[in-house]
Amino acid sequence: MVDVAVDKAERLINLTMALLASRQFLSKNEIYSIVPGYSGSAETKERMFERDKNDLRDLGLEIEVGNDDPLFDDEAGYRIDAQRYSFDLGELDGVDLALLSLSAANWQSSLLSKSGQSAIRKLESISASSDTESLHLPHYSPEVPGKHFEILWTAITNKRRVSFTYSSERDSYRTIEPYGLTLNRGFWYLVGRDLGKEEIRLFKVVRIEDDLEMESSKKSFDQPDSSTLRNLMRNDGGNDQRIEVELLIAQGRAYEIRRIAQIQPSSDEWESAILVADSQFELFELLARAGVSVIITSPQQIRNEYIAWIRGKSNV
Amino acid sequence: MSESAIERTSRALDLIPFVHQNPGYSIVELAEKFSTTPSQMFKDLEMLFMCGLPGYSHLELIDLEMDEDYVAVNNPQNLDKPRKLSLPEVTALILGLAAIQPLISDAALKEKSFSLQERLSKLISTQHRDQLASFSVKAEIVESPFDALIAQAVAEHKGLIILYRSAREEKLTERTIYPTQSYAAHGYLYSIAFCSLTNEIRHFRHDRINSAFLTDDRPEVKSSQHPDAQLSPLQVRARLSRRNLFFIEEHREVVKEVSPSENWIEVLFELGDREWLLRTLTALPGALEILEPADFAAAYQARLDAILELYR
Repeated sequence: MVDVAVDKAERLINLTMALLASRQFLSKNEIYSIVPGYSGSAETKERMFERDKNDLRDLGLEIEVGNDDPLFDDEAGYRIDAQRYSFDLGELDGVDLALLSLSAANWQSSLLSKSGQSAIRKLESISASSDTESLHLPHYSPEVPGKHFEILWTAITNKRRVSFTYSSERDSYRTIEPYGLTLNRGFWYLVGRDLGKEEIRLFKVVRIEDDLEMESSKKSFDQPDSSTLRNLMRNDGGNDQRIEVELLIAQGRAYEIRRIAQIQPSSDEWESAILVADSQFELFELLARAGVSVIITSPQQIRNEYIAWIRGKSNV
Repeated sequence: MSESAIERTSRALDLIPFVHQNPGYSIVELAEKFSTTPSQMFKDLEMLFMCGLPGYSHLELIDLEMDEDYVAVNNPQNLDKPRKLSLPEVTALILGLAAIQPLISDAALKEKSFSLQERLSKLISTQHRDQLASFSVKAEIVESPFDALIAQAVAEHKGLIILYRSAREEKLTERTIYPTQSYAAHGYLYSIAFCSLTNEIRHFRHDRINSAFLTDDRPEVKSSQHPDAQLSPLQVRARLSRRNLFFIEEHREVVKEVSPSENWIEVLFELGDREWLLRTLTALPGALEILEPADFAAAYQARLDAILELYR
């Protein structure tokens, strides 16, 4: 065979095809002779092949190593099992593909977007075309996490600590053992152990400043098992102490509160109601939004706290 | 920055089965599909002309047909199937399905989405399955009894007569809306619709709809706008407690500038709806100072004073 200068990508594709085509393990020498582009001394060819093998493995290809006759300790050979090269997701109809396309389209510019789009291209290589419009589903547009997401993904999958300035009520520098990422109400949160506070906490990814860094040492911590992790990610850190208050609501006003309160209908100017809120934060927000259309009558303590809360908002 | 051989190989390995299954794309369309330039796509296809099985005669090479407007793979040799899905690819699809599940009202479609998740999760190894557990979507959407009716109105291009509790006022208003698209954001469903009351395109949060009925009436575009629609752009500069970072993150569309300091965040809001901003700022926690304009600052203070007056 004429030895021509072969582009590396071309050599990698030819190598893939050769390894896929052979049912037998191919020795290195067989590979050098049938795949164009391996040239130079034995050491040079060996180095080229080792790099090519690693590159193909980085592309997700499983290269089997072995030999065809176990009785002889021959030189190792190589092949790719065609069954393990691809995947079998069963039959996909147009609706399946439309659902998957829509799922992939959720992720705008981020690692998940690139991965989602490449996954859809692979699915479109084996299946019917899709029509996402026919599903009539609402459009979903979660936060675009940008470059932080890729660093955090790598840190989580490689179990490496991360450090960053976190912008909250006070800016503070944190070092975290990152366990996972969870999307909640349109925002991504990092779940991890805050080494300074010695607690597992949630961090809103948009509040992580640009000084985010990943430690270079591998496996610097153990992650909780998957069921513990799922429980951690379900907990949004919210205060579950429910608050019940008695209110007066102006007739024909405060519809947001009327929707969730128990009202005692009356023809008076003010109607009595009982409102249960998930937190003081939610309660005061609802009341302040309704302005002069609601008055807390009881309990006195919440009434006093609400008055202080409004006073504290004064335009100083 | 030039591409590495591995990136080029990755794209080429995916390109062959894709074009084999989907002949007829132009080079420009393929370049867009594979997020590269038309000239790079041309080079990729040229390279693939030279690739094939050992022997490398015309019978063993990949058989490509190519001109500017039409690309087809007649014989992909043994690259007729796509490579395995990677962990990020499977994760993107599984999480994406979890994210859209609350938006699906059709039971059969929802079941299909669960089945796809199940089938996808079987594609990854046990070790990678543990890694998948590190990523999740807490898909919760505040439901409205009218979600399905609104979806029907969008699909059939019909109007809806609704009673709506606007976020900017204390009363219920009846209006006919013509929704064209729905979307989910921050745990709520919204529809974009022409509103007959304001004679404008508005966004309606589904859970604020008190009642809804389909109508075949066509939208009537009025020559003069409803008073509600007279919303000239307003700029308000305010200093907020840092506890309100969440509010800025959720309302970027009305935030023009943000300057955080140690204790405060100074924000310049720009929006049309003065009443909405007044009500919203009143409901935010922590100290708040309106820096300008003076009349907005006075209106904000008057609102707080009026609430306190109720408790005297």
